[in-house]
Amino acid sequence: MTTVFDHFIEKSGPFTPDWAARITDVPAETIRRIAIEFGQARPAMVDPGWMGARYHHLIGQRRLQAIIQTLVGGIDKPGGWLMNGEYHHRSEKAWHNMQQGGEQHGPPVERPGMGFAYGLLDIFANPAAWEHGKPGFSFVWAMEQQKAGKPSAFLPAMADTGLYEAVKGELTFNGEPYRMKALIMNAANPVRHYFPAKRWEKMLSSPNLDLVVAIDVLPSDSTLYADVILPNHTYLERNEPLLYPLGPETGIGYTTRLRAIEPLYDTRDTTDILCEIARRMGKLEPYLEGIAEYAGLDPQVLRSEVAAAQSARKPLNEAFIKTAYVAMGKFSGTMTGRKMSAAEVEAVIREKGLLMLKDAREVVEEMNLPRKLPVPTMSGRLELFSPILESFARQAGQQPLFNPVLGYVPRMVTDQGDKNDLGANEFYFTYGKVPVVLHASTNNNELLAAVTEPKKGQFMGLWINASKARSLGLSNGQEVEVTNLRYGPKVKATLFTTEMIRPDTVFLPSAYGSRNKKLSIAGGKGTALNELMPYSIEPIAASFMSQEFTVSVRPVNS
Amino acid sequence: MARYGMVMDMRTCVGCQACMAACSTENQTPFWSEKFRTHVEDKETGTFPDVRRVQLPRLCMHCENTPCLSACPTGATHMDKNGIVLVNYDRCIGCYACCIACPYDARYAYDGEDVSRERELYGKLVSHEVPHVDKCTFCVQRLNEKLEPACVATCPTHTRIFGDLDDRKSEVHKLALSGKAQALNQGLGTAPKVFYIPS
Repeated sequence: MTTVFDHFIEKSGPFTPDWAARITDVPAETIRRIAIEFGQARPAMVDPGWMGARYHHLIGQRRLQAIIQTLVGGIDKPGGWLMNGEYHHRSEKAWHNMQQGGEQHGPPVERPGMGFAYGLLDIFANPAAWEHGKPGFSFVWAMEQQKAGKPSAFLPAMADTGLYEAVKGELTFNGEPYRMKALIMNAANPVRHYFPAKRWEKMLSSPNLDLVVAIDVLPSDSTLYADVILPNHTYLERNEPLLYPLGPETGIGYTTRLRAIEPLYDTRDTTDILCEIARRMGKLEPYLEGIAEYAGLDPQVLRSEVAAAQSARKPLNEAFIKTAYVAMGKFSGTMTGRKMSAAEVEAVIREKGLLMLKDAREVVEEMNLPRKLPVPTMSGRLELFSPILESFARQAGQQPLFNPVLGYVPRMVTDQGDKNDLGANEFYFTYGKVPVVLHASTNNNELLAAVTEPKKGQFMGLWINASKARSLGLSNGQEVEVTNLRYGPKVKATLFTTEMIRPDTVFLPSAYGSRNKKLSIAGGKGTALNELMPYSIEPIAASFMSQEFTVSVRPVNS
Repeated sequence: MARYGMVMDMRTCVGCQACMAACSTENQTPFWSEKFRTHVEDKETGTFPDVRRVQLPRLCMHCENTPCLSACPTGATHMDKNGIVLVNYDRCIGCYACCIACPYDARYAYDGEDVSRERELYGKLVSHEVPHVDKCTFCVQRLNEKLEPACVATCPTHTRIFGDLDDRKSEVHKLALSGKAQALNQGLGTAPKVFYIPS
């Protein structure tokens, strides 16, 4: 009998430091040294980083990081990875339910780890969960593709797969048409932020789309396509409708956002906008019920708070947050043994900005995974084997990406696989953020634009290695055409020559390229990242393969 | 009475420029004309892969041997009892002698157009009511409220350490005397009160 670990060691055999050195330019001796240092630290920590999902095999990289982390005892331990408070809480609840002989799982929002993803599938991929008998468009697309033996995605939970097809009238579900006729964009700018720009421009201009609504605070490249723009409160004027867990915080606590100033103009919170639309459709009751169920609110309390807000002519978002305070008060009783009133919860939130129910040390001690609680996997142990990937392999056939232990997945940046031979004018492509603006959402701020100006080259330009640029006859500040060599799109950019980047790579700041001239400061400036992108997704979560190509850089009009 | 100064820890500056934004907002400086009281210079040296990058935040050094004060013909530029070099806006005649005298390029003109634009943006809350030469004041209005300068309060990486250089318990005193921190252009004899820990 071979254990998973034995299998893993055997299959890892060919992938030596010398092999890796040839691909990565990191010397084999350095790889060996770091591996030994890392392996002897207890625990050590791999920082997984952000923004990795730009290549089709990123899932494997994340799994390998988790495996390495596990092998040095660095799971849920100070000095290693710490699970967040929410994950601990859900795991404890699931374990507690099982021990009571009940269902392990409650509502999807309460399930830990992959249980949450499967819980979402039970709703969005499940026709029986909906009155109209059809699942979400992204899952419809995935199912229809699978049926037809075409490339698909297994968990397109947050993806736009199928949306354009639904708008075009090309999507069907079990032989029936699946049409998309109306779209509400809430604080979203897909024409600028999603990939690629052209797909969204065409989608939003489609004659099949009867209604496009944008809820936003500023003009954007997407509001240009809206039939109706509903002006939203800015973040300073906004109340959130719910309380939220604290993200990566290891302790168990909740927070929200409350308005700093009264709204200055005739704008609304999104909650009020959506409730009003639901009310005019005659569907406010079921809408409130759905929200209450999803968010763990008491539906009766919510209904009565909404009715009170309506008769007092107050915004409905306040009814939601009041209901959330009530729910949190009860929840604090189960967590700490002391119930709180809604008023007490609100007072703590207003004074401290958050409500802590269990601090990090307590959580890591009492709810440690796996030292005190079983990990929410099938065996209760930290597993190197992925039953999810195995299920994908069973459905879609064995391929390196679906290896349930860990296998080597060749690169796909070019058609050459792992071969490193770039042409004389061929670069790997990367993109990322600069300190002064957030996506393309704050590039129109006059102060931030002024602070950007002294460093315009580096914050807005295409970074290219200075020595490499010279060898190509290119210079700093020159206008160039960047061509996606794999998929074809081209964009113009201004060069920033620097030694701070590898000679084989270029980098584009991602926050510019807004086209709407109503953006008096940002309109027409910089390069739009998503105009260089293909529509290319990977088959697990339908993430965009946004760096899985190479580019060339030439002077404009050359 | 204090002797206010700053230590700039260049080991931690990441070039985010939040200090520039915070200062502009607090002090209503004319960002619309790209004029700032503080700047963050960004220098790279070397060739890939041996590249070094240095962020240099700079501002008025509040020198003790003050060239701008000597150059000022009206006495508009003066030093308060806490060692802060200030400009009296009503006395300044805009001759720019101080700008020429300053070896740290710390001053700029807050001109008539800037004052008009400031009125449009800030209405009744304007703080620069007349044209004058402007520079960092260590946010003296905040110090009066026992608050730190805006750039210090905003900096996410603890690059700017501010306080009374004569307070032996203060971090700024300890760092300034540690031997790690040096003033810029020391040979000029201006005796700056802003010191730099090199990266």
